[in-house]
Amino acid sequence: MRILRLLSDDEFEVEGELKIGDVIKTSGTLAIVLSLYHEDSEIRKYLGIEVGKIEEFMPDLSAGERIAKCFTLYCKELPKPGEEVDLADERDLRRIHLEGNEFSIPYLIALMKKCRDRLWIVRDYLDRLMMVIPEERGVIEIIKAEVEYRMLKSMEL
Amino acid sequence: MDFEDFEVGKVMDAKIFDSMPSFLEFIKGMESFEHEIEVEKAGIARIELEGKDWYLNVLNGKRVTGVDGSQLRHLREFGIPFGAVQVARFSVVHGERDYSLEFKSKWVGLEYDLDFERFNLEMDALIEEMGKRDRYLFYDGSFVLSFISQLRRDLRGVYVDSINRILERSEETCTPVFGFVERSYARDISDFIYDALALRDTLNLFEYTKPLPCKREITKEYRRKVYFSYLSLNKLFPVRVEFPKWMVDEIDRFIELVAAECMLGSTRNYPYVLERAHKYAVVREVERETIGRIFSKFSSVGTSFKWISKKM
Repeated sequence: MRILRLLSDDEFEVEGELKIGDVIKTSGTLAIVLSLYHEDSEIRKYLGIEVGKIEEFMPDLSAGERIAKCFTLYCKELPKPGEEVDLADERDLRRIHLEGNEFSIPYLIALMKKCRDRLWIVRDYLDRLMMVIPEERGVIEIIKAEVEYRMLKSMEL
Repeated sequence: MDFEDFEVGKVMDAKIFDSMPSFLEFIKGMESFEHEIEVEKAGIARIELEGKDWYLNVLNGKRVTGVDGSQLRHLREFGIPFGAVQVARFSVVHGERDYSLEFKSKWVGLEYDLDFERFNLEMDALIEEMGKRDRYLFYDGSFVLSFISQLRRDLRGVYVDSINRILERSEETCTPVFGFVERSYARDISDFIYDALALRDTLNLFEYTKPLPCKREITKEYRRKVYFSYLSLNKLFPVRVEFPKWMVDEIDRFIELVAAECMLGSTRNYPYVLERAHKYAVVREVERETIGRIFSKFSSVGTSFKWISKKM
């Protein structure tokens, strides 16, 4: 997986097999996948040649990739196009939330605004945080309850 | 507004759009102009097409490289007096599923000429490939830099140095290099209209003019001669291919390779390696906007009010 392009200073796209809610890391960034789409295949521009020959003679043509749009949760340094991307693990998540030995979620408001119509992404993410940082479960549960309330409110139940 | 005495180069008291009908008449007149060309001096040859996959057979096993660049103009609007140039070098070994893609880039201060920096970086990227075995190199543009005669002396000198470097290195290493001009408006063999237009009724598909030396004024400053041929890949407009003199003796083989590389392209009229190099080199609009947004946040002098007013 690698960075495809920057969309803004807090959003970028990654080429690779990711799913919504995955948390990924680059050398200076942690980010969450918020949406997916499939890039058009370039091969269709060259259909005058049989497919086997296309692979042999034009091996760089992309068959179309899955692209994940990611939102930055933590940024020490902006990612660069082409940079390698990995899935973040529990240690990464603990590190960014427990900096200075104090629990914080500085990106929460921005993330909720970004996911206004899909707050379930935030809810599922908070579930994961509860497992990764069990000692802060109480605080995270309060935040999760607020997110769920907003989800219901938005449906005008 | 009366445009009866329409003339290119003459100032009109009107908007460009209003003079379009007269301009179109002018273009039509140019295309029907009786012309004489010197092509007989050189002669015309034809590529032998053997089977529908002839171009794949020509390219099979050959390593072909295309170089193209793009630039990010100086970011004055954001208080950043720097621009950047970026070059992509795309190489493919046809028939062997093997390719490589490399980039070169450079930030450039206001006092430097971005066009030249890009051109020079493109030449460097090509020269680096020379001396390695069995390379065929494509450059997207002309080696005959007539426009530099209008530039200041020092800038003109560095352009000529770059051209001399690539022509000499190509000869020393026997590495073929092609300057590919898809739409050429050169007038080297026709007096009144541009060569490609003059030749479009003369050349049949896959025919090409035998090499002729370019005798334009600027080439007197070159240490090696540049030759050119026109190659017909469609019925509308032949392409121009330029190359160093040492390649003339084997030009039939080289032109066949150029035509084959074009056949592989998505339009069948433009070399595949240049098409891909261009795709990779271009600084996309979304990247430009992102860079602008990032700079507008980081710049200490703020964004230009003139720029903001134009965007609103």
